[in-house]
Amino acid sequence: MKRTSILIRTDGPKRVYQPGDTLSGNYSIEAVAPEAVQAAELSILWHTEGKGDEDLAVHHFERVSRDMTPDWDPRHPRPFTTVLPNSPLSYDGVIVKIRWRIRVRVFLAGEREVVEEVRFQLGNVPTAMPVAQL
Amino acid sequence: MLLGGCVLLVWILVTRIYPQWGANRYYLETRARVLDRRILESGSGQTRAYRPDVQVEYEVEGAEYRTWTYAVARTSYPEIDIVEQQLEPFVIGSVHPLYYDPAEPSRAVLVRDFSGASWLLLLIPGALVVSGGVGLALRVTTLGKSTERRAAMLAQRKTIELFDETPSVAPEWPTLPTDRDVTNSPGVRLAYRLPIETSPGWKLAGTAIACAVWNFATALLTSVALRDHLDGEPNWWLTGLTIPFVLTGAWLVFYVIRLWVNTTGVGPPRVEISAHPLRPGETYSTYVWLPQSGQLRFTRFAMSLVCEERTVFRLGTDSQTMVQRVYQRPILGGDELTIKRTEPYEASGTFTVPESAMHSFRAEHNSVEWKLVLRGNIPGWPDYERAYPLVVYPRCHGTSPI
Repeated sequence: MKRTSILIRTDGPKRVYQPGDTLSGNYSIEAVAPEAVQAAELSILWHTEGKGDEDLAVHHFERVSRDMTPDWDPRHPRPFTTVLPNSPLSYDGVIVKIRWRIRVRVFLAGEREVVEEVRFQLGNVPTAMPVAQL
Repeated sequence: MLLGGCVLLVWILVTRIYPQWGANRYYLETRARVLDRRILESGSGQTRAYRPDVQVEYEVEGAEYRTWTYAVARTSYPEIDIVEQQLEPFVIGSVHPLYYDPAEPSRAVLVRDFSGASWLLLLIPGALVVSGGVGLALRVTTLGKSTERRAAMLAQRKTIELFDETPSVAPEWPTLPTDRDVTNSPGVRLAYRLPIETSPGWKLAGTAIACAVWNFATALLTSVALRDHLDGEPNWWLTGLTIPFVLTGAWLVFYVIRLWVNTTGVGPPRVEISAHPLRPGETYSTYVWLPQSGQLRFTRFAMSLVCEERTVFRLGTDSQTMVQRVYQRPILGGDELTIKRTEPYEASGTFTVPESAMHSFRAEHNSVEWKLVLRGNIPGWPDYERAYPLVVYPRCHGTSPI
């Protein structure tokens, strides 16, 4: 049995974006029988990493499902486009890190899920260093 | 929570509300003769309580009944005098109205009271049912939905919150706090007077109240333990329990005194700034004015521009906060300083927000915070520190922040 694979492609090789830039691309679900795919969700989101509990917010969200779109063929590239927000910028802090990702979550028959992500950077904030309190 | 609330609600309805309501609603009246009366005791020591009980004899449809009763709500009282007053009219041999259940005539009461406390009791399961129900409804609406879909629904809900007139983040600048609190107070020398991060007065008041409550409870505990000792029946278990309470109370008093010295010993500083919000790479002026009711000597006094990362995380059932400073640059001061009573301290300085600075960021558990920090060391006193939050926006990309 073939494994389900998700391909996420962005238009152009760029991985660093600025606020207000357009992020576009497409995704497709391959190596699986189309009828096994129940739904797919594309999210362009930021989330935090680090010592603390995770914060997550979705900037752009699209869902396609077999119920709503009967003629949907998951093998065909599905385009997406969004204008990136002013904030938050990607940040590599000491105990707080902010990451931006394009995430596709596929729901398969039998309540199985497959997730694929592509990371990108918003803005050019350099890595933070710890400072001792004076 | 919902299940517990429902169980409690049913229990109160069945055991308290319905019997009282029934006695008032459909119990029939007859006459009964008092055969005996007594005071029932429950509990022991200081938790002892009393309630009245009257033996009556009455007749319903030719059948004779004899039972002990008084009221539906079997309310007990800590004072025996109240119960004696309640029993006073029920002299043995006297005849009184009695109310009985027509379906079960042996169930009867002399007093058809309706306790308001029983209705108040409904507030407890009511609150549990409402909060549990709301929680369950939220769970049901997000059941089977992915983390991203739930977050998207939450974002959508936030955009249609019609009544949220004072959002805590600027809509065009997600995760950036608004600078409304910073720019609503004009300065005397410069454009804005900065608000203090946490008023030391509130901290002092809160700690003083906590100290008073703790020491009041400790005093009660101590008096009970001491009375046992004076009565010649020392309770060593209680005495042992009292000692850590007393030590904690003493430490709280010491802490409140330190806070009081720190809060009231130095006059309230006024810190102003030339513009707000701040932008990376731009230069701003700041002004500090510090009045003093008496002479004060700092071995070191300085103002710095500071950036801190703050994160909240769960550790078991506790919620802990961790702070990491990632930027600190002195703006003014730094040396020994003596402030005279007649001459308030005044100083001006300029600072530049670093070109590559991370902008202010505020989410539920994580934040990046910029602030001006006044810090001083006074010999023999706790360290003096006051912080004034700032909002730093990202570098402009063609859109104005306001």
